[in-house]
Amino acid sequence: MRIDVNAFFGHWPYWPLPATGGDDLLRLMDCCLIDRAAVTSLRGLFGDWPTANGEALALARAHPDRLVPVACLSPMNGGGGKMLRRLVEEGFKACRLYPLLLQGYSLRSPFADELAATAGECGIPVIVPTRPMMNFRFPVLPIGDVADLADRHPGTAFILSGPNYLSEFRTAVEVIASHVNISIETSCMQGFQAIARMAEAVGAERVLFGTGSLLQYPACGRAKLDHADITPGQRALIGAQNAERVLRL
Amino acid sequence: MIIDGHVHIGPAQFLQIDADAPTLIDIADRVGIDLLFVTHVTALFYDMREGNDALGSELTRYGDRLLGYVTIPNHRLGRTACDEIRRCVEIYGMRGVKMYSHPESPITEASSTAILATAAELKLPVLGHFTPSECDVLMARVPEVRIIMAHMAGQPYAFGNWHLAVEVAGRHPNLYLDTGTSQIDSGMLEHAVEVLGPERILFGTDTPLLDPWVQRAKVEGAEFEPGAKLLILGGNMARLLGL
Repeated sequence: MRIDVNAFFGHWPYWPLPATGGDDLLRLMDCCLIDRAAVTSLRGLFGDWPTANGEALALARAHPDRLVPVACLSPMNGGGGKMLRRLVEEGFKACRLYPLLLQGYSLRSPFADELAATAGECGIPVIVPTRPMMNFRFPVLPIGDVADLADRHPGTAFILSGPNYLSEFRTAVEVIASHVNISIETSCMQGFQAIARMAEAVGAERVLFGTGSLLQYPACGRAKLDHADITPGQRALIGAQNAERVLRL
Repeated sequence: MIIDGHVHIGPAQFLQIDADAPTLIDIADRVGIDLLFVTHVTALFYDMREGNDALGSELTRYGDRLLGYVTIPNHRLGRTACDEIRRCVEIYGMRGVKMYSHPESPITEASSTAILATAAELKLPVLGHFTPSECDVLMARVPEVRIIMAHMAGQPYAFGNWHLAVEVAGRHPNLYLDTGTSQIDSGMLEHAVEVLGPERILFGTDTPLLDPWVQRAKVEGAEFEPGAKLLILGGNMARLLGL
């Protein structure tokens, strides 16, 4: 069983993606033997999160055994705790935050605090990407900002997404080790045996399988998990069981 | 035959790597890679001759699995670098040249020309840690040299514009692209194959920095015909080296 906690559908402004739609995502999941994926519409990253959430929900409802909807919210267009609560009632299992350059707010803002608090009350995790995908040429979100948010909301689960380089990897390990409410997904971790090293450093129960599909080749994400030097039990945790627990599937 | 065209051997604290030949061969066996084209970290970041000699020593012991790049850490070494290339070819049978470009000493300085010309004369491919724009300049100066653009533009970090890498390669028939990069962008290899054909794309993993399984999956999972994947994974490098 494999559950991808970091998947997308839609369009990307920097180049034409070869696959964009929900059917494309499902086809690639089949190719890579990925059973389920937590999905967000890429429309929500840069432009119109309300429409994006509607798209993600509709797609997930059409494939309830395969896709899990993940909401994206920003302070624009009425985003906030009340809206998040409504989205959770509709079926969303997590929410994503894209602060700073992408959506123009700080993780220290009242909006971020309100959303994190509401997510904790609703029992859903907050996914915070430091970069939306590996090849992204804007400054990355400091991991310390995520740690500070997690400090202020100890009852909320956070999934760190995006760290890769050595210094980021080390900082992520420090932050996860010192925050029981932070885990990490694997889509941007490209270093040699990065999953095994992360699992050894913070425990396999804090590492979740992610691919970044349709932005990134899902086969790469799958390969790095399949060939990680970890035990079968650790692979089961990272591949699916942690996602089932965190996303309450 | 699968040939990994981008592998590092030796210790580098700042990269947190230290792999000797047996370690690299063990990794290659597990990933299913037959030949490793290797550059020595000591030559890259400390002493050229010491590092190249260390690699040469490994080549004498593991010549059935390793191919050697003569590593030239800086083009400002000038004539010394040209002599080093000839020395390592003569003594150790090294098959290529590895070069870096740094913001502090950009490769487009004139002193790189003689080194590239030496590589061209000896028919050695140059694995160049160069940007697409640098490759454009260098290929115009020495069009007969075969440069492999390391990381397919994803250097020094994965902010790479592989569209530009492909565009520049389209202008220079002796410019090749290395797939070894932390960029795993959907469509990057399909785009390169569509524009350039598969013959100028070479498989590399950047082991032990990057995960070779991921790099192999990037090629094998891309959506183009299996014959093209075989070329990329090894056929092209074999042709380049006359293997």
